Amino acid sequence: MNYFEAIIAQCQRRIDRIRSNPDPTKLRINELMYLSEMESAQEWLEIWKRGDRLCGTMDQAQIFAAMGFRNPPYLGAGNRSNVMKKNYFDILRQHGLPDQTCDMTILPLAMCVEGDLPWPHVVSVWNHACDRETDMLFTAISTYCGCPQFKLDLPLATDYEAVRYCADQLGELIEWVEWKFPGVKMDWEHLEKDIGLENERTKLKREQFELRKCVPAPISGQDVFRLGGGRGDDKDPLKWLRLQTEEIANRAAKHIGSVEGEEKLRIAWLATGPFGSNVFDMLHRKGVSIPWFQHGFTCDEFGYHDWADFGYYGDTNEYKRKLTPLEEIARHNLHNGWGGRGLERWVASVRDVCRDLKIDAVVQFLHTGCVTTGGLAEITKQVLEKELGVSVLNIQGRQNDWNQEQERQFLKDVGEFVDLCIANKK
Amino acid sequence: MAVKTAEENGLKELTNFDDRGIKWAKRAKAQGQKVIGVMDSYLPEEIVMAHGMYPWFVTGRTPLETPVADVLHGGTKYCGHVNHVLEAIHLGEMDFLDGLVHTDWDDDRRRFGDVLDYWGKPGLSVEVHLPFAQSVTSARWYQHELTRLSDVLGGFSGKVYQSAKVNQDRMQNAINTVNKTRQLLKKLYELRKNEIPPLSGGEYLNIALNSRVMPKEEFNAKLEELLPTLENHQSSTARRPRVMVSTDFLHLSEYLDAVESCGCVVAMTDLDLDRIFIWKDVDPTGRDRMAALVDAYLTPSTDSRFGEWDKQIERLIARAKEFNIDGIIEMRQSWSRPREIRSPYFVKRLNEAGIPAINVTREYSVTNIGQLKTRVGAFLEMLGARN
Repeated sequence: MNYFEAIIAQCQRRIDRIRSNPDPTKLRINELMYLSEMESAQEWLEIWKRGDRLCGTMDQAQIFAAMGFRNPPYLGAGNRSNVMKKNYFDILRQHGLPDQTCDMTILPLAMCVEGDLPWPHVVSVWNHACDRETDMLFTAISTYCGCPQFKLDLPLATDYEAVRYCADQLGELIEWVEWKFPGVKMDWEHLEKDIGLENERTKLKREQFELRKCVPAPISGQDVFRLGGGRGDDKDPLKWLRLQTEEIANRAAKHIGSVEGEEKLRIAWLATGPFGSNVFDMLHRKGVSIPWFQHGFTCDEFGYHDWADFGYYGDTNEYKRKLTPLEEIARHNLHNGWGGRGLERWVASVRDVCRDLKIDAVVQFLHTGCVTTGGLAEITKQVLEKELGVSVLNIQGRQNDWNQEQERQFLKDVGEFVDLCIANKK
Repeated sequence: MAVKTAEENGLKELTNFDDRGIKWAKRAKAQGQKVIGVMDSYLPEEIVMAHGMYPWFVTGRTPLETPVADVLHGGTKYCGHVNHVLEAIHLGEMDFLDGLVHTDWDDDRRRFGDVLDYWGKPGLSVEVHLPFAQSVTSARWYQHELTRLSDVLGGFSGKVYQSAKVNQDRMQNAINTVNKTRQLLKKLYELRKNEIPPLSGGEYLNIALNSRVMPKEEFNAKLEELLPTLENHQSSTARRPRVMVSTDFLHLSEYLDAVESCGCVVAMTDLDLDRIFIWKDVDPTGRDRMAALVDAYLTPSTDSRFGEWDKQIERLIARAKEFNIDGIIEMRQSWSRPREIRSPYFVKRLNEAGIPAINVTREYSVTNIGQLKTRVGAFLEMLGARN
């Protein structure tokens, strides 16, 4: 059974559970989300079987899509690799690859080696959030399967010169792909339409951000933590997201919370999690809501950029001009929360979001191998404690390599932390 | 007239790096110069010198523990070089620095810059973006970054130069001086092709390190005097096997001494310290000096950071053949992620090219030498049997 087949089976189990015993604290739209995921996984199986052109990339997916390539969800698969019930860490070790680096960005390589994910036909990458790790993942994938690789460069600056620099490189990428794959041609209309859709998506997400300010939080920790989402249809590609936004707005208007009983504490969760842990169930029972989960893309995804004069797609204020499609993509990637200078970007954004969402405490999950967040964890903690009076728990762990003893200790540590925060809040 | 021996010609001084060159930085400071720490080899020291300031290559303190850095920079599973430098700064051991310049070579170094920003020391801290791609477009951006660095350093130096021509002349002088250092080091490295190199691997490393902390004119004069006496000098290492050690941020010669004590000669190294700095002169003839600096410092090399692993390994193979190398030891620093992920491919490609290779892991400080020697010893036995 490959990854997509495993996802189909998992989604079916979850749909069956929702239908037989719906949880009133979770969004009803989740059933539709799992149906969408099943359809999507089925589509990937067909794409793979047909031998459609595939690209391995984190941030140039829109560009490749406009040239007829599909971008398999490599990093998403890395996050959800537990669905395979296979020890990919052993496979890494067998190949002499590191097993102490970020799970999400090394496990996809093992999954490709095992035939559980398809190899791409081309790879492009720039240093970004998950700076070294993602870059190295796709470099390794291209080396292993012998496909061509294009490297781009993302600078630290975010002024218009930097935007132009990145846009120029994206132009070079397009020319290179057209040269490497004769017959492939860039569809600029497709790209513009895609960017327009992203703009609409961001506006809906911004609405959701505002709704999360409500007390009690109208959305559960598990739902906040989800990295994917449902699809729409040809008539309305954002249909699922609109329905999700409506449901959250409805819950907020009726003050329907997402925890058992009274909401006693609101926490923000940084920057990833132990996938498969039951920590959210425990927090739910203790009356702890999680209105916010922040990783490198979250602020951008939700159109939240109070730390800079940043506008999302279509904005003409930031650079005092209308940007070209490639400049829009460049701007979007230049402002990733994990990129650039840490104090101005990640630390400032976490602080500002916590203030805006009335967060009482923060859990920083420091997963093995993440220099990007681990290297700022103590500074983030000190800033939050000093400037907002918010308690912070720094806790180490892995995303995917998780056993019963680790789970037991993790639940104990997080449980004791929130108990203390609740007691201090009274 | 009696011919001086290598020892009499200052061999000991140039091969001694015990105090990490701190005495030179303090001397420059006492003489009224501002001292700018340079954290990695992609940053042209010429720019610091052109603004009348003293470039000083930053190495970390040697004791194993880095308790403050471990907390503030994330723990023990992070770059040892960065943590040891942070610890030294925290303890006041680098209070002589007026400023520090560094690149975002990787995320450890980017977060290093963030910790310095948070601490507010040492004085001026400038982070330069080092492109991850090696293209004409990226080279132009690096030139933009180095120009920005030069402007910042110019403002910080407090010196007012009369005209643009004077600035250009100062840059030209700096380029000429550092080119001389390169040329002398190249000559020194060429002697490694001798059947018995004149110096041990550790001595070569310390000379390369001293070239980055001593006043350049003084270093050049001493090495120029020393070189003729080395032509017939022989180190006491074995003749064979001849190994190359490939790594980054290796600042302690004890590691190379340990390798040689297993019964080999470190006949060549592939370090960030030498691969970027030594092999290509900055073109002194072009009008655009900043472009010339970029061209020299961003020359494609063997650095795993840049991707294109196949081409990097081809360059390494060529160098190994040039220096008649029997085997390659990749002695990567712990948690060096680009190397970690490249390693299996690195060893495989070298083996396919007929060059046996292994990879071993080390810490920044000297530790676990026994384990290192066991692995290296087994590798050398295999090389011996092969030959």
